[in-house]
Amino acid sequence: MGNTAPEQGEFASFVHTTGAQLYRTALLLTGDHHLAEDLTQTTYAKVFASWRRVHRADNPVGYARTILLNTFLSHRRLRRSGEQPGRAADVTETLTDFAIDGAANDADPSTRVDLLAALARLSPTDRAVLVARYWEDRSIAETAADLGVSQSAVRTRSKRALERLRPLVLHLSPEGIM
Amino acid sequence: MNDLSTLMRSRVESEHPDLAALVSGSIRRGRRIRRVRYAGAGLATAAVVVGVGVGVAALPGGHTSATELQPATGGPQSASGTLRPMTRAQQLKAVFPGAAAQRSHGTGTVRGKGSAAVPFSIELHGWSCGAAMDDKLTCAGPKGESAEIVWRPTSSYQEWTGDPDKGGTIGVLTSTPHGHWFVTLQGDAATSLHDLHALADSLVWKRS
Repeated sequence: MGNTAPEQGEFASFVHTTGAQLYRTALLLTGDHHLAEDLTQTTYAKVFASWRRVHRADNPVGYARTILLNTFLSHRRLRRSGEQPGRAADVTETLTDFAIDGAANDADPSTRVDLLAALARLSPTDRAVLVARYWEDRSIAETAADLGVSQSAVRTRSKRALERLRPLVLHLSPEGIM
Repeated sequence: MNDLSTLMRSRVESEHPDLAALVSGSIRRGRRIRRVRYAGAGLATAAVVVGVGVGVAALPGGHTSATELQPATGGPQSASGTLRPMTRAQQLKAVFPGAAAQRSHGTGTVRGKGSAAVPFSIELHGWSCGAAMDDKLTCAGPKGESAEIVWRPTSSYQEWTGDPDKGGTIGVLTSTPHGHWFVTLQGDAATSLHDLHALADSLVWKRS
């Protein structure tokens, strides 16, 4: 299978360069440290499995980002039977985890919990749209391509998600957002 | 909502993953994916070689039997039996050849708003589908199975089947193009590959 040392070195360098950004994307999507780590690792595992092709691509980072978004949505689709956005068991666990983790690591843990909890109230696809558009700064066309949906679907979902998010995060910005 | 960008950045900028653990874990899991991929390809190739040999011997007139919907091939096989590179879905079908035989008979339903826009119908006893959401249908089986069917434009077929994270993903079945559309099917944890194949085989395309 040809796992050579140079190949692993190139891959490790790629992870060190892009890992923080990808992990933060995963954290915004999942709202949970453990789930974010697992999602990030799953993404990089897929990247490594196709590394010889990926590292020759024009945009390996974009490839990894697309894999992460699709892995997140696929995983959520498979688990969503009976699940309500914002009411899933893992969201509850998320809030507990962040209340604990945040208290140790963040000067203002309450705001962190609020943003992630607010995002968790959105459907996974709506959340992915907002993360792609406002965290990754992807265009509507790029977001549509990344998520495999139409541009009109991205517009509709973005508008609907912002309307749902607005009242939940208004207090986080004194100047007022949105 | 440009401040949402600022808000997101301020909330996660202090988060740092364990990169060393990420590298080692990813390589370990990536190797596992490669092993499965190579093993599946080997089994599938052997199965197809046997199948083509038997088919050519039994059908000297060149008759080709094909179901309306099969896992994607990445391109049609020629009548002379030329082998093309196989997708993950083909490999799975080769590994589980009995899947199509499990098809039940009867008629399922596609109901609700937007059903007229769905380019196919479901004809599988006990299965029914909810309202179409954009280009997606979620269907439920008689024993609690669930699967999502997405119809996609034929123009994106090559891109889709050529992407290992899409058409090549384990558990995702990809149809051949049918007029303007092809479909992908993905089941939940309660849906076996056999169920998914049966559902795929039951799709009846509308005239496009």
